[in-house]
Amino acid sequence: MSELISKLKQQIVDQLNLADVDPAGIDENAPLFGEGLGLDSIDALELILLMQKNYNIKIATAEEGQKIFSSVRAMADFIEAHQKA
Amino acid sequence: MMKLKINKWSAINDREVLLNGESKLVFDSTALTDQKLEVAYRALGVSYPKFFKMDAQSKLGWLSAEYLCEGGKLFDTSASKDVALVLSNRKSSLDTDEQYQQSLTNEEEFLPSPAVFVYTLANIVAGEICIRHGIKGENNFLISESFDAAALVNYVTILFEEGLCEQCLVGWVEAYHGTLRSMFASIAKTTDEKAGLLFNIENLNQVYQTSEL
Repeated sequence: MSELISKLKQQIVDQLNLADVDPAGIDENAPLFGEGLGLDSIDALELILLMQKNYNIKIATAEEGQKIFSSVRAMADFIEAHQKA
Repeated sequence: MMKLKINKWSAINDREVLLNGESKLVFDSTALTDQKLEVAYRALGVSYPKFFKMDAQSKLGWLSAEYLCEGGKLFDTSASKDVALVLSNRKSSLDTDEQYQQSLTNEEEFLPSPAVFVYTLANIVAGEICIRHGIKGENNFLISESFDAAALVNYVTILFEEGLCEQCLVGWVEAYHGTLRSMFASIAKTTDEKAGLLFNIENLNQVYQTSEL
């Protein structure tokens, strides 16, 4: 899991062009939106793209997206569950 | 009688950043466009994470405004609705349009980027500058075959005469296929004809041509 979280942090930094953010410094339990990284609605769309491109996961509903993108850990949990299924 | 003057101007081209004709930063001639834009951003010593999400043209416009205000406020007013922004170029947002079009034609990996899509409008650069400097006044982006000082002077003069603005940022901004070219001038009212450079077609053309040398 920790390997997936590290990989995910790097992918988020790359996908969202967070040039001055150190991936290792991202708190995997912190909210991705509203505080922490301060992401916006376009970033949310880019995260959907990230999940599709790298993990072949399509987010079906806005409610599902809100839950999955609540934190890096929540994203990792969802990816892991998807890969096991 | 009210006259308009060019308070100051900035310019960025492939070689350097200029402020009122004085070189502020010289680029490494071997650097790529993105590298030049990042060097210009780093040299300002400001923190604005959104910068890195912008396309090249918005970065160029954002930097031109930033160099113009020299780390302070772009305009000395709290009435942001009295500040107008009038920009122009030849190729609209074609650089980013082409980039987005390419992503649409990739059949093997059809994943067009929303972050690229939002920059497929020329006036997005105006929006980025307005957000940064809290400008809420009239803004417009004109497309013309070449730098059209007459159109810009006429339009901006009407804005002042109709009471639609007290100050204005006017200029040219274009990033296309690795070539950078911008010139921004801040315009304000004056009653002193000897104060600064009068805002007229001849002087605006001269500033634009100087910024290209």
